[in-house]
Amino acid sequence: MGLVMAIIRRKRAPVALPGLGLSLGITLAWLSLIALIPLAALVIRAGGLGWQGWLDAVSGERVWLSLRLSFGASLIAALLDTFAGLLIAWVLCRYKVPGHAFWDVLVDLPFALPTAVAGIALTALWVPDGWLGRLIEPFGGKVAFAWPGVVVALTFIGLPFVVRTLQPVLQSAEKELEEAAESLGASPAQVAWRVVLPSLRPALLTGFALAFARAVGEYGSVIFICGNIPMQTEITPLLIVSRLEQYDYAGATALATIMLALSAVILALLQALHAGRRTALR
Amino acid sequence: MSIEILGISKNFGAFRALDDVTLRIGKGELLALLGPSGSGKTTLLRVLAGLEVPDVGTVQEDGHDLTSLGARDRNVGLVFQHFALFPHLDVFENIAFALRVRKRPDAEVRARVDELLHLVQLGGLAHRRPAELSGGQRQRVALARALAARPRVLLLDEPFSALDAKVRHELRAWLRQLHEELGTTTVFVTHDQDEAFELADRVAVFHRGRIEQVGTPDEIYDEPKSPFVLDFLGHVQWLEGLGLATLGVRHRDVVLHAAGHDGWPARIERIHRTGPRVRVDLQLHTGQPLIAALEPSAAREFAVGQEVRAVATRKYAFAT
Repeated sequence: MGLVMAIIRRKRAPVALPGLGLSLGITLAWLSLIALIPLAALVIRAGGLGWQGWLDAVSGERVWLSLRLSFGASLIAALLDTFAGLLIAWVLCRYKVPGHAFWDVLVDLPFALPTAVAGIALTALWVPDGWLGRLIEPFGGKVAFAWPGVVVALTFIGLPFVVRTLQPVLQSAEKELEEAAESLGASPAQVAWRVVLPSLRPALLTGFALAFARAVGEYGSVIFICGNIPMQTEITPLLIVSRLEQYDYAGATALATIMLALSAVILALLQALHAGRRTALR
Repeated sequence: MSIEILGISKNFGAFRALDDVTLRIGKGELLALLGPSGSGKTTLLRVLAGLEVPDVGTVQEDGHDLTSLGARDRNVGLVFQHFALFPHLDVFENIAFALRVRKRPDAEVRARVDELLHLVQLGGLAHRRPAELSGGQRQRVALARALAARPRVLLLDEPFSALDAKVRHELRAWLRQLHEELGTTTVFVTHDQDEAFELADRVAVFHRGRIEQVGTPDEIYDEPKSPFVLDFLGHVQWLEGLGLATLGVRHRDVVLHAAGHDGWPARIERIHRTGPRVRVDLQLHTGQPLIAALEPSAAREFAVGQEVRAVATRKYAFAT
């Protein structure tokens, strides 16, 4: 409460919009209800373990490997999404593609599809005798029931976030900037690299962050494709669920706190990068 | 370089933006494309810049056909109406852009940009971002950026319209001076006749995708070739029923005399001061309105309600 009052008091300079106190109150109440209280409960629950108990619950090779897979695969997937999403958004915004409306709807599909359906479909494609698995099998490639499967599923899930973040920015981009660059002698590649991409950087970062956050939290599609082999293809959310199934609630929440903290740190870093760019721009 | 625009037409869907336009631009000339919005002047500028390809006709420079050459290879300096500065680059890098994409050595870039910063009087602002500049400063950065690669032609699209009146007047004088220093062939688009007349050596007046008249400001002002040109220059009253033709009379060409003198009988409806002149609203006995813009000293002899005789010292007749 003291903090809230301090924020309100600090903002006492005349503002055009009235109702700062009220709107701040509603915002905080809402945030508390849907985010802060559940997360606090999680931390308190994990706290019941005691320091040593918590440390035991989150250490061990199996936990470490699952965290590495979860965050590593999410990072790779978010990077792939950023590249693919940029291309897709570019094509959808800049060219008159035949069947534009159809492709546009298709982009949203991973949003709407139950993730288990996505997982089953992707698994069917990538098993060794599936349509795609068959192509890489002769070269010793393995996607389903291996870690690349995790990446495939997470990439599928995260793609719309990048496309949908970039599209409005690309659409509102000033055509004049590109024309100015062209008349100054820039080649198409130079226009893209020196003019268009810098203007997209904030949206790319946001899209990347959203895709990454979504991937870290994903469960449904991954468990179908990766085979869930402990120490090999086991993601942290799955480890949490398996602890829950063994009635190890405290152990599960301890793992959850680790995921929570890691995600928060990474998202905060991305945010700082974003803010840094923005101050540099001003 | 002299530029020949030969029979250019350009359609956007059903809209005819340019309709068989032919124009010759002399080396070192400062030419204004004047006209209302949608009259085709900006489209012609974009054709000159290589940003639009005409449907018909050619653009030639000293006999070489440029029509199919893209904007990238024309080496023209282009200044946009809203300047289109790169927001993520500072003033220095904005100006350096044309040299950077040409991969010029750093020392050369530095020297050229410093020279231009000096030319546009922005020496202290090299490391500001465009967002931190005033409108007039942005305009000058845009100009410096356009000049960096020593373009053969400088093209300006409504260069002063985004600025407030005072800055606009300062920059006009400055641009005229800059043109005299550099001698670069310059074409600029404007809808403001004062701007066109004050700056340009010659003015091309556009109307519905065609050039109505080309000439020096004197020629255009004194000998308007069509009702549109006379009307567009403004402060004109159209009179009908006083002969076979439509008659245009400029407000400032109307002289008033006391009743009994020769002239059109009229009654004074209203007198009010508009800047340096006094505007007198008249009602002719034929029922038509007429406006006289008088010197304040001449207006003092008249009062509202008075019966007078109006004489047009200069009339423009166009066959209808």
